Amino acid sequence: MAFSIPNIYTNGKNLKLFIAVPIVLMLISIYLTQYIMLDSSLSGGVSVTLQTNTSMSPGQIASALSSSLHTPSPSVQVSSGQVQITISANKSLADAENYLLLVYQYHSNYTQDLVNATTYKYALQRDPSNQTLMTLLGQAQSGENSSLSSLKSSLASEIAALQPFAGRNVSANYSSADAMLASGENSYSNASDEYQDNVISAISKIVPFSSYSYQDITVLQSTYFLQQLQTILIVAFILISIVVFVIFRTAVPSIAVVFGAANDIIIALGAMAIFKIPLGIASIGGLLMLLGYAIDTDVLNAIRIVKRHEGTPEDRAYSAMKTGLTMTTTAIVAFAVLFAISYVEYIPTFYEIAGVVLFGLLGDLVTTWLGNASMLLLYMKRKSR
Amino acid sequence: MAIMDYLKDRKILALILLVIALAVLDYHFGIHFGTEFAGGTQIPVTLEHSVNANQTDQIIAILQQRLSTFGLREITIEGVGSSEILIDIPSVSQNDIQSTIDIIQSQGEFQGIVNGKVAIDGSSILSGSVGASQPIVSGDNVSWSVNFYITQPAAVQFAKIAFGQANKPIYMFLDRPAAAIVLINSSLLGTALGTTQQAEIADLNAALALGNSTIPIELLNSGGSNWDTLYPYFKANAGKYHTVILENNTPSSIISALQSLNYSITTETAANMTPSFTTGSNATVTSTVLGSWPAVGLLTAPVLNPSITNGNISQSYTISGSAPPTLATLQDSINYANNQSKLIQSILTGGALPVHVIVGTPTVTQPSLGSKFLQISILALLLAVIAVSIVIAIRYRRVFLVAPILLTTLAELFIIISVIGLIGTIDLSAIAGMIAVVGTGVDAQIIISDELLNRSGDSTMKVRLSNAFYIVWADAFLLIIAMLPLFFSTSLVTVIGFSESTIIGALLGAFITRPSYGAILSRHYAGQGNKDA
Repeated sequence: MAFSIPNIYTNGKNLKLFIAVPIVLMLISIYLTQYIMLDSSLSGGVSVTLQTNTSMSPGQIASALSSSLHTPSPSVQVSSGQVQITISANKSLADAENYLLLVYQYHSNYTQDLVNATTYKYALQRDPSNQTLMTLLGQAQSGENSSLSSLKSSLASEIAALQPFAGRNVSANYSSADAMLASGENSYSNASDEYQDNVISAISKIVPFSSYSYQDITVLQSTYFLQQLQTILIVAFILISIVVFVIFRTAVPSIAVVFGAANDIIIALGAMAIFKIPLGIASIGGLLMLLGYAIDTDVLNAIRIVKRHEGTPEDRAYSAMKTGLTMTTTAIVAFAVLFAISYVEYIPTFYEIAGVVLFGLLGDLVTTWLGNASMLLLYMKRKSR
Repeated sequence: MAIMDYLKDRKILALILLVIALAVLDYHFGIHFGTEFAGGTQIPVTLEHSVNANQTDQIIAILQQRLSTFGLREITIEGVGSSEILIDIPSVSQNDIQSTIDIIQSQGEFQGIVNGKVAIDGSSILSGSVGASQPIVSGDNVSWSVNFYITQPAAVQFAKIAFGQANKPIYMFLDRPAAAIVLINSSLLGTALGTTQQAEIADLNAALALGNSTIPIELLNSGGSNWDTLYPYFKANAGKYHTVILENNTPSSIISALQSLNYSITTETAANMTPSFTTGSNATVTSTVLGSWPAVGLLTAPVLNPSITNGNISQSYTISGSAPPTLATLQDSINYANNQSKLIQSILTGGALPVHVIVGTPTVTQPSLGSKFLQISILALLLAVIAVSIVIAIRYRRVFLVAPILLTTLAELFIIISVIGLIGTIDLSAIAGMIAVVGTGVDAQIIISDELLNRSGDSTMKVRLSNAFYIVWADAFLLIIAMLPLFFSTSLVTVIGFSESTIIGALLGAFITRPSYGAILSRHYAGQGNKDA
């Protein structure tokens, strides 16, 4: 036998102490989750990837950019031949986008009212004394006017929000509803072009580069993505819990499995806060994977300790631990490889997925072998009494 | 034990056959990589407000139709949740990106031409007034209608031009080309039932007439044999016309001759170049009439009802028709009617999207960066497999185990890459999912190994194998359940590849690769009794 870890479960007095360890870790992690960094896909913002051979350090680039772009500390990642810069969302553009959506909305209200008014006018020509039609016509006409004035004020607010970009084709044209719509649309797209030019030219003055890619996630999109990510995670967790209860049909083993899964995810989030691994859209893959891995070893425990009968429960727990440690070790090794490669070469998708799984699995060692296994052993003791 | 003995096991044989079959398919169809690896541009389009799945499909269909005219292959358009759409184009050129954005933002220009004059155009129509009513079914007959309003000045204009044109067609164009000549292969004309080439040309000329903006038609014999006689005409008119619309298989010598006369060339497929004629009949005569001709943007040509050709001014119009009685089922007729009214609706609105959109900043992945990502991904996969094998070798100290674990893992990866690459797209998240599969796959193999090798000798190999698979299947099932919400999500499209990889991996593992690993092991150790590890 290559490994010689003693059977930690033989002294039954330690079990409650063991369970306390993952719970303490969980509480610390819950506290830490508030410090989790969101990447631009979930917080909104601009991320620029440069192909460059610069020898500048991330810190130098960040401080130079921060002063030239007037933005709070951009995040900078440097890897071989590549620099990735992330800047938080521009507030003027984010506000203007919201007003532009209002412009759209009032414009469609306006045209709807216009069509209604025309319809009623026609009907009235055929039936000039119809009171209902007259009332409807009056309503449609006043709707037309109020939509038009709301349209005007939304456009004015949009242009005001875009004040920092004034000058380059950012202006309102109030001559007609269609003109307002068009000028609102054009002003917004000109301003975001201008912003992109500003960012790229500011960067080019600091870091010379051969080519770049520019990705802009608006605040609206990122809020939506974050909310979707939470929903998917919660739905997955609920589904898993239901299936686990169906498989085991007894409360304690099921709770032990579900506890293990939840704890791993919380510990992973806490570790991401400490090690400044950003949470992004890609992280959802890692979080769900973690559910899968956490359950792997927890199910192994539940089946070996509770459902089998040869030897003592402690012996069975120990043999499960030997199998389970090998499993978790190989998974840690696979994700450590991915994490290391993505850290050196900076590929955010890999980095975010591998970071979650790697730290979650380290947490899983504690959760499963101190928490989950001890819970099951305590349960077996109570049952045999 | 000889290799042939292993091949006798059905599970092992099935795995080998699957790998061979997929290798053949991969070779034949090729594996499809996403823009992250192949290079390309992704353009996010934000919708004005949330729309339902039906409207999303409609928007995607309109965008696909508009972008298909643009000539880039493999544009993919997918909805992200209910308020965003992602467009991927396989190009990083600034020109292509800008034209794509222009096409998304642009609206088509509608013109309705009666008797060689513009009777109505896009600006005449009150936006928002165009509405299609549900098809009306009476007996076998299904009719459809689209209603709309036009502005007061446009109504005056229409009444004037339509006066006396009862039962004549109104040719409805979307983006009718300006200053263009059509050079058509003569074999495409005269093929419709009940017409001659001359009659067709006369119909086409009537449809394309518009004063100074008339589009002339020139006939090219197959292979371009009469080009020499046409050349003087093109030379003489090089100042008047700027564009020549021709079929994409026109001889390149003709195209370059036209280009040297400073014409710009628009190529169209044979299908688009072929005008479509329909045979209509009323009480007295059966006639063949021009229906559509995509190459010049002529999309349909309904006839004017006598009630609107008497000079009365009206702002309210209806375009209606009924499904041809030749359609097989009532459902076919209803579908036909629905499609027709949608077509008319989209022509009248200039092909406008049902909601306003904000085109976001394109994300460009240079092909060089993409191929670097691919190299790194392959490296990561291989290193993960090697590292995991080393752990296994150290843990079990049985060299025999390493080979089957490695082989089944590699087979699993190959199958996942093939399946996703053949029917979907391999992107970064799919690769990350594959690395996760390496981890879970090996986990299951460890469970099988431990259950088979590591237990006291009171149970048979068969019982131990089924014990092992109880755990393995429970794990696989739970992993699939965990991934389902992401798999079915329509919003986080950039990570869905991860769930595809892991779900395919878990299914494969549960039903093909791990059973064959179990078979290899039980064959190997069955004869040897039970040595403890």
